[in-house]
Amino acid sequence: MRRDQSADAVEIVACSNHVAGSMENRSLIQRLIGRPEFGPLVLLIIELAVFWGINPDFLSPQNISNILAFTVELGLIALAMTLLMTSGEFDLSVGSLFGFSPVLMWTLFNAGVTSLEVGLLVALVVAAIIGLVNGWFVTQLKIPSFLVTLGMLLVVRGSALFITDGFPQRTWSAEGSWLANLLVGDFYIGPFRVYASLFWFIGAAIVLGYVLTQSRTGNWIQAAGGNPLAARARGVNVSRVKIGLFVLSSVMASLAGVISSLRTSAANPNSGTGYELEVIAMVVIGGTALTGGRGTIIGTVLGILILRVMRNGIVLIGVPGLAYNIFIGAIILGMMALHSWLERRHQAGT
Amino acid sequence: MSDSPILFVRTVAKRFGGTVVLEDMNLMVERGSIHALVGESGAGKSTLVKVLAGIVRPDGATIEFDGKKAIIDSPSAARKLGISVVLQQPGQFPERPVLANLFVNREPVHNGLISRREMEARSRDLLRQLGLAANVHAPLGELGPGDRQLVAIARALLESPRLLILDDPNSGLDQQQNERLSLALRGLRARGMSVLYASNRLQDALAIADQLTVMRNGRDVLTKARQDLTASEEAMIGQLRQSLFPLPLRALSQHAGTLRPQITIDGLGGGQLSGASFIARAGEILGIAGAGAQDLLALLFGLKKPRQGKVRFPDGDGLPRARVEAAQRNICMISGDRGNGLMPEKSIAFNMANVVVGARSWGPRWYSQRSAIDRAARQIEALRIRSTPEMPAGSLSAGGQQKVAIGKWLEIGPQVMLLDEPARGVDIGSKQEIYALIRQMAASGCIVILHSSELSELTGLCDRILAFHQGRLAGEMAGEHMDAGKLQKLLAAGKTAGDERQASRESAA
Repeated sequence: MRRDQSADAVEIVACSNHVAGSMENRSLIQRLIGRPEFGPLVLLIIELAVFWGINPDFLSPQNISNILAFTVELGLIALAMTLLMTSGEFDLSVGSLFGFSPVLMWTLFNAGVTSLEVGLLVALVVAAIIGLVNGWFVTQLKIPSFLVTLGMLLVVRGSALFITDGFPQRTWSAEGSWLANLLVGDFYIGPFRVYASLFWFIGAAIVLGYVLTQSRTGNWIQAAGGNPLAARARGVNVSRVKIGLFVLSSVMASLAGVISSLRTSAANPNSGTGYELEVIAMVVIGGTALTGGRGTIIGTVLGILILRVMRNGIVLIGVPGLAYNIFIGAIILGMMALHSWLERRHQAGT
Repeated sequence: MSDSPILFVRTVAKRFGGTVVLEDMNLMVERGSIHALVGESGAGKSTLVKVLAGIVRPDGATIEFDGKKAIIDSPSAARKLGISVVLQQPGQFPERPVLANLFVNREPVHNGLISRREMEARSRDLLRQLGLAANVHAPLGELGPGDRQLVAIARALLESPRLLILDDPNSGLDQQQNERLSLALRGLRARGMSVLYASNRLQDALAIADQLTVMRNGRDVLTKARQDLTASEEAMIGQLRQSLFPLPLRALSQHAGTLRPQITIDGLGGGQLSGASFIARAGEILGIAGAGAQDLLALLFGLKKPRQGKVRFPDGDGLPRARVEAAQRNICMISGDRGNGLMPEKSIAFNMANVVVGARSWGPRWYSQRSAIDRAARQIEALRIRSTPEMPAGSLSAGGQQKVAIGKWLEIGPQVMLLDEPARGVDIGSKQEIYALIRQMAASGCIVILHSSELSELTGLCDRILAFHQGRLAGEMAGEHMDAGKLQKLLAAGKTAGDERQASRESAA
């Protein structure tokens, strides 16, 4: 009796408020270091410095133009994948779409069924439908995106091979069409040869960057990935968000494939094999969480550059090109170790 | 019709599978009042709250809101009516900034872009009122549990609801935060908002409520205005509390044999803790409180590495290097962080089995379904868990889950029991049973070390209490000298004012 009465009112005042003020008076540099994009940025700078130090040709205008040309095409997929992964899903079928869409477009064109423009439109619509199917399986049938998109990968790649009997398509007459100019028209800025696709990429990065961080849609995406149940309870239509992002990722992959085929004047049903993993690696190296809820477009852009620069630089400094994957793998492992170390240090500090 | 009640709920029924959770529940919340809903967990409070939030669909119910019939079939329907709910485990986004958490899916938009400035402006006053001093741009996960709770409450209040429903809002709050919350709620009541306040903590509910409804087994058993509550009724509700703590079995703890197993701790430091020296003996419940107490438990269980000092466990070894080793050496840790260590979608039997199978070096190597079920059935009976071994652990109430967490450790016959807020967030009935269990463990020769931030729990249950101040051992009290007020002072200031004996002991230590 005595104890209860006197003690009930008393609660401890121990563990609270110790985190509060510490964040606000950090200096600019500390804030910079605290950002998830800091690690990739440092890695990219080191990479550039090392390659340039070994082979000064690395930073020649011609080589930079080369790096950028192909970077953009994978980059478009990676941008869309960043949003998708932030929402907690990922898409393995992008590599096959990268190969399938140009094949479809050129097949229609070569058979005389449609013009090139309509062919492109058809390819994009088919891609959108594939994205829709992916999204529907994942959100409505509640099958993990790994399985759904793995299945779709095979279906799409199989279709590309079947349509073409496994042979590359003829792509002779793209030169000079307004579509080719719009997507991959090249011109010189000073000594740099630049393709129009670079501007598409920059535009997409800016728009998607804004969408992810500054728009309500972006908040839905992050909420859907961070805590889907809570997001639903707050009225976020998680399924619709995810389906939309699957469509986006498919369409971007398809567009990237078409751009690539117009630039190289080739439509090979086997092209894009393995791109899905490279794209996911780019996104993850950039600091987007594989588990969803946290994503960064700036980080992805850095991740894209890190991997593409690595691929180019390795050849340039005389390492056999076949050794490329060793370095990519090492970078992924290293970056993941760094991320987890930073995270743990971060938690210990608070 | 302005004096019709804001919420009028009749004959709510809900069953999950075979279990009846709500049965003929009635409730009336007056306009502009704070209405407390008290009862053991498992009584159906949380389910009723979820029904009103549109998360759980009742089997049958008549709900009138603001004098009109209402159908609440989704969270957004509840919101449209003007009902905001803070659940026991509010859905939050630890990765995202506090500000983003406050405005999930309600972000103010300017020119298609989210306006951070407007979010700040709209939340600033409210956060100050609630006494939340955290940086709103920091990720929510960096905040302490109390602050996170306040963010959840602030999020609900930002909708300017007509009826605010709080489910056990103060479980994570300390005294100061609790008072701020009460103050803020009274302020909102004055502006015409109604509050339904579901809580396990009777004292808090009585302190704030205008009306009170007691719930038991899915029914309302008593509804009264606070001031009409007669002493006998209050006593009846309070009865549960008075018999909360089991009588210590003094007979055993007076066996002052020096051969009793003990843990000798000498100058131990790590985390906030530094230079702690004391002995914990078998047969007693040793309470620890204050800054550093939680680190002490983490050190003893091998979750943290020590910075300094020596420890000798009864088996002659030092600190365990990892929790696996701790479990294998019959050291167990039970934390009030619910779900901690339980796999909610697995059966009770499986949950009970997983320490035994992992930790023991005796018996068969393989997992046997039959022995797991037998084991679970044994514990279910011993601990009075209201379920069967095959049910998923997640289907139990908070108190039931906590008992499973205790039961799975009991199966290895622990020699050292480290308890961290073992009864947090648990209803009064289960609390009582858990306390009795702890007492029983101590009596059977276990070394029990209990950390709690609820001082009445320490003074009620322990034989001896060590108080830590800023990571250092500030004082010790035992037997008749234990008193929550004195303990509080010791924790806050590092010494008790005017208590010579304590002061001298401190200087000796």
